[in-house]
Formats: sequence, structure tokens, C-alpha cells
Amino acid sequence: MMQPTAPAEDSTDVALAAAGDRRAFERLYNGHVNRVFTLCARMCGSRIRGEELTQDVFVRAWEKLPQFRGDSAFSTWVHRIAVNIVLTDRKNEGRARRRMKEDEDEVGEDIFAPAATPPRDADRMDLAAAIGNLPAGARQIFVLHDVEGYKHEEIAELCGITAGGSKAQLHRARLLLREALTR
Amino acid sequence: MLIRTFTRAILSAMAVVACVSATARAQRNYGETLDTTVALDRQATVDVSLMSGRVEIVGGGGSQARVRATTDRGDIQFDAAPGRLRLSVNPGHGGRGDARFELSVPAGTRVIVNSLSAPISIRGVKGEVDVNTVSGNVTVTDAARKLKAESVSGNVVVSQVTGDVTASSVSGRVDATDINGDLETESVSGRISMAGVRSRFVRSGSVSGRISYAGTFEPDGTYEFKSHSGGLRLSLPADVGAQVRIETFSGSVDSDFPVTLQPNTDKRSSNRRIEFKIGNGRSRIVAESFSGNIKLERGDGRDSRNDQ
Amino acid sequence: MTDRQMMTCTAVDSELLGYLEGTLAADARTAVDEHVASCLRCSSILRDIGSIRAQAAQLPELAPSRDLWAGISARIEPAVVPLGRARQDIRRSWIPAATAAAAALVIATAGITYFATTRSLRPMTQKVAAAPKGGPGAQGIAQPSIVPSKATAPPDTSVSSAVSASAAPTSVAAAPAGERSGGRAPSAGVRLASRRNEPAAGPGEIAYGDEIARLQNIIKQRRRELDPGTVTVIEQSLAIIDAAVRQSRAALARDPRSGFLTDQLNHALDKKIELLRTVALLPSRT
Repeated sequence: MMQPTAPAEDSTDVALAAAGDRRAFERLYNGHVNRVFTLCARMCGSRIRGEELTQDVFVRAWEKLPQFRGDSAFSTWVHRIAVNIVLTDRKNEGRARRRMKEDEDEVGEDIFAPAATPPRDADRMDLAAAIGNLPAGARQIFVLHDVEGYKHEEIAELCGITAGGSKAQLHRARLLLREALTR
Repeated sequence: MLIRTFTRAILSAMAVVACVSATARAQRNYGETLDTTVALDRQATVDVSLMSGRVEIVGGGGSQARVRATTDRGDIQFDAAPGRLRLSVNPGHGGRGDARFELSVPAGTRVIVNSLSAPISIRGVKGEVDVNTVSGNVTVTDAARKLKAESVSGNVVVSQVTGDVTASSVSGRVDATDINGDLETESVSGRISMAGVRSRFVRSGSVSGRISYAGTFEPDGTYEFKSHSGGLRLSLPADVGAQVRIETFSGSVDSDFPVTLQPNTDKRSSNRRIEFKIGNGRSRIVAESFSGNIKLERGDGRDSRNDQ
Repeated sequence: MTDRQMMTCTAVDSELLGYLEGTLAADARTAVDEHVASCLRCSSILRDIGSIRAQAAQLPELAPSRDLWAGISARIEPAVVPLGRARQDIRRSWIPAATAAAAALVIATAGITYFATTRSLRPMTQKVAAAPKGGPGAQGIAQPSIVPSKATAPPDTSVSSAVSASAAPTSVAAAPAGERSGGRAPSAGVRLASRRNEPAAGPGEIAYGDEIARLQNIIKQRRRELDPGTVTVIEQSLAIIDAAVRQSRAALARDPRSGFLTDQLNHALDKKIELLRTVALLPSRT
């Protein structure tokens, strides 16, 4: 598994890539693709779509790289781009936002599990698969908060909802997950 | 600039050759016939490509995939790991990449198929499906989570899908039946027919193809149908609740529901716009055409009459 | 027995969100703690949620099932088509990885500046410029219908010159529809009631035209190397796409404010480029 590159190494490649060096950008890609893909795939609940979104993320990062000031680590910056891209994914925009604002029992994507999963009892769903089964809005907030570590205020800003709404969605997601995992 | 780009392209191409040669060695040649069974993880990926011939993939139980492939000329190329199975054909000298592939895979498998002119049939995989052809017909039944099916001139027929569906053809027909999930359909001149749809998001567009829809209209759902010169025919349940907007330049509008013509307040547009509410008005329906006729009729959500 | 000990499971449920977020007042928090200490149900809920949070933070990192760099590289590489801020859809090449090796050599030796990718080719599309303001759609006059004919082939749709009305850019970059002059004759593929409905290529289409012309040059040089049956399929499909492009452009000329038709035109041009690139990478017969 690719290890993320250290910030010090990133800064050199960031400077080169911002100046148009595509090989430097490829090195940045190699160092961060798994992290970005993990976020995209878990948030949107689909590997295929996650791969497409991952490509969108790095293309957007390439376009915006000249504006990157180095205020944060490159990984933080590209991570933020990934979150924005997933949230504004045109196929899900509006629908996911509405679901975030409403309390409903809509069933979201079906099972989503990591590729290399050890054989397990067919009756027991693992957490990754259960996350994939959450309604879209709840899934996104759960991934952002409990998996990725974002705070409610940050989530609220990103998703266009209130911090209270974020907390409520998170709570709902956790209860749904508990229900799925203890069935 | 051009010379530097050219040199970079040459060097890049040479690098690609080196890398791809290594990849090619990893994929074994099996000659003209292959019949094998391999173990596959749950939700493994099956990736199939060929130029012409036929592809049939059937989903079933168990945790193994059965692969039968034949080609008249060329080499079957195949490799398999627990998480991924790849099958293709190297046409070799004078070949067309023509092959017949028959696979049975565990339910839940993710299936990717690319072909030039081979017809593709995928049934019962109950997993994600991604199909792309140029002229072959595509038939997918009983997929789940996500289905994308595209062709240029082939017909795209999808049914019994629980998950989001994107189906498109340029000149072929697009049929989507018994879909439970978001639905996007598109054609340029082919007819689009959607029936038995249960969705909160439907988007359908064609330049000259007719579009027909029969499905539910969920509260807070969005349903958009746009055709330039093809007709639109929407079948709405009697108890539907929808805010409806119809816009057309020269097409006729025919509705089984009472409408009130609103004055067109958009001075930039010469289109006729009709907005009205049915029932509680909770879903949103948009039907737009330039010259195609628009018809809203009462139905039961399953009526797929579209032969007129 | 105090009031706190009377706290019910239902009350704990309603306080659970605040409890987990740490926003409960001190006495409410204490009440929950005391209830949980003696309630199997509520204590198991708390324990399960704690476990979910812990597991969530430890979920393994995932890896894509394929190399995504090729697709990214194709989108950020400016060599072939001048990129704008394009809306791009992923297209997967169906070419088996092994055949791309031979094809890449062909392309390199053909002296074309075309960056071959290993697996997936991403059409570099530039959104057609926003429809010109005004145009025939705003005239308030009923326009003649466009009727696509079944025979989609314009006079010459051979692979070597799959130009079509759509690909060849005219010298008019962004003339408003009403000022079109010297428009090309409509092709046999689409029967138009009026020749004046044939629109000029916009600036976005001219960018497409450059890419299409380059690819057609490659294909022209490789035509004899390809299997004849494959050539036939490709030619037929290109003819269909060309008809679709013409149809979309004509419709857009009549209804220039339609973003939907702009998208349709873009999609048709995307398909054409995707197909031409596929042909460019096909393996040779010899």
C-alpha cells in the first residue's frame, strides 16, 4: 500500500507541480491517491463512482495548484477538494442535500465493502458494508465525522447545513449502523 | 513547444510500451479456447473486453466464477485474482478480436464490459454493472447498486435494477423497466421508454426520440423530461402530487389533469410555459420540448404504451 | 430513591445525542450516567456506539481497483486539445492492455504527437460555447421540423475521411445564427426543410474540430492496417454519431438558449472523439 509522502517532500513537488511539472504532480498523486479514493468511495458509497470522483479531485487540484499558498499541508488541501467534489457531485447534488435536511428512512446505496475482505459470516455485516448501506446524507456526515475526523462546524460549512443538523444526522447514522450490525 | 511535446510523446509512448509489455506478460494467453472455474471474493470485479462476438454473463450463487471463452482467431487473454478477473481477446494477425464469452459469476459481482460490436447480455448479477459498446445491443437484468449502460447504435435494455441507473444510446432504443433508484436516460434519435420506475430523481433527454415515462412520483422527487422534437408522454398516477412545469415552443400540450395556462413572464423566451399543481404538489415535474408534443395522462405507474 | 434514578430509557434516548456530543448540562449528564450504570439496554447502546466510533476511526485505507493516473494525465495534458474548464465524463477504453503496446509504437512512429494511455482514454472535451443570444428560436416563427432520415451516411463517411458536417470547422467562430452566410449544404444524413438552419461551428466546436482532424489523420494512415470488418463497423458508427451531431447542432440553432441541447451536442462530440481514439489505438493486422 502506498504510504503518504511526508509534508516536507510534498512541498517540493507542490512547487514544481504548480509550475507545470506533471511528473511532480504524478508523485503527489501517488502519495495521496489512496487517501483521496478512500474518502470518495466511502462518502459516495460506490467504488466505481469513487474512482471517477478521485480523478475529478486530482484534475481539480491540478487546476487550482497555482493558488495553493501552503497555509495547510497539501494532504489537507487536497482532502478538502475531495470533500467538496463529492458533496457537489452532480448526480447526487440536491438529492443528498435534501436528505441531509430531512429525517427520512430512505435506503441508500447497497452494500459497499473494501476489495480484499476476509471471508466472514454471511449473516453479519461488517462496518464498512453497513456504512455503504446508509442513506446518502447520513453516510456522508458519518464518514466526515467519525471516519475522517471533521468537526461539526466544519461539516456544517461544507454541507450547507447547521452544526445541529450535522449532529442529528450523525446520531441517526450511528443508530442505523448499530441496528445493522447487531441484527 | 510542438517539438518538445512530440519528444515527450515519443518518450512517454516508449515508457508505456515498457509498462504495458510487463502487464501483458501478467495476463496469460490461452489460445482459442478457455474453460475454467476460479474463486472470486464477494463483490469482486469481472472486467471483460472484446471487439465483436458475444458476451453473456449470468449471476448465481456460490463463490466461484465459471469462464468459457472461444475465439476463431487470436488468443484468449485471462487472468484472475480473488478480487478481480480479466478476460479479453488479442486478435493477433488478421483477427477481429471476435470471441464468444460466457461467464457465470457470484451474485454481487461488479461487472465491467467493453465491446465494439458484440451484443452483451448480463443477467442476475445483483451487483454493479458498467457496460459500453459502440454498436452492440446491451441487455441487463437484475443488477444492483449502480448500472451504467451505453451504446452508440445498439439498443440498451435494462430492467429489475435496485440502484442508480444511467442508460444511453445515440440512435438505439433505451428501455428501462422496474427501476428502483435514480434514473438518467439519454438518446439523440432513439426512443426512450421508462416503465415501472420507482425513483426520486429521473432525468431523461433526447433530441428527436420519443420519451415515455410511467412510474411513481415521490414527494420531493425531481422528474425532468426534455426532448427537442420528439414527443413526451408521461403517465401519472391518479393520486399524484406534483408541481408541473411544461414548456414548449411549438409542440401541442395535452393533459388529463386540469391545467391553467400561466402568462409567460419571461420576456426573453417565446416559449409557451404552463405551470400548475396536482394534488399536494410535492414532487417536481418538468417537461420541455421545442416542437415535440407533450402529453400527460392518467396511468398506474406501469403503463409503457409508447407505440404511437 | 431520588428523581435521577427514575430516569427512563426513553428519556435517555432523547438525551443521548447531547450526551455523546458533550453538550448536556452537568446534572443531566449525571442522570444519564446513573441510569446507564444499571440499565442493560442503554449501556449496550452506549457501548455499541462507542465501538462503532472506534472502528470507524480505524477503518483501513482503500486502494482503487485500477490505475487512475492515466485518466487524470489525459485530462491535464494540454498537448492535444486546448482545455477549458470542461465538464468531462469518464469513458473506459475497451482496448485490452496488451494491444495498447503495439498501438503505442504505431502512433509514435507515425510521428503524431498523441499520448497513448494504457487503459482508459478520457475524451478531452471542451464545452461548446454558450449558445449565442437570440437566434431563430427567439423569432417567434414556427420553424420547420428536422426529420432525421434512416440512411444516416452522408456521401463520404469512410474511416479515412470521417469528416462529416460536424467536424469541419467553418471560418466563422461565433457568428450569431442570423448572420450565417456561406453555410455548408446540409448532408444527406439529415433532411432539413431549410438550408438556413445549418449552424456554424462555435468556438468550442472548433477545438473539437482540431482534435478530430488530428485523429482522422492517424486513422487515414492506418486504414489499410485495420481489419475490414472492423472498419465497416467503425464507419457505420461514425456516420450515426455525425448525424447526431448535425441533428443536435440544427436543434440548437432553432433553440439556442437550450442548455440541454448544448449538452447533447457535447455528448455527441465526446462520443466521436472517443470512437476515433479507440480506432487510433486498434491493433494492426500485420
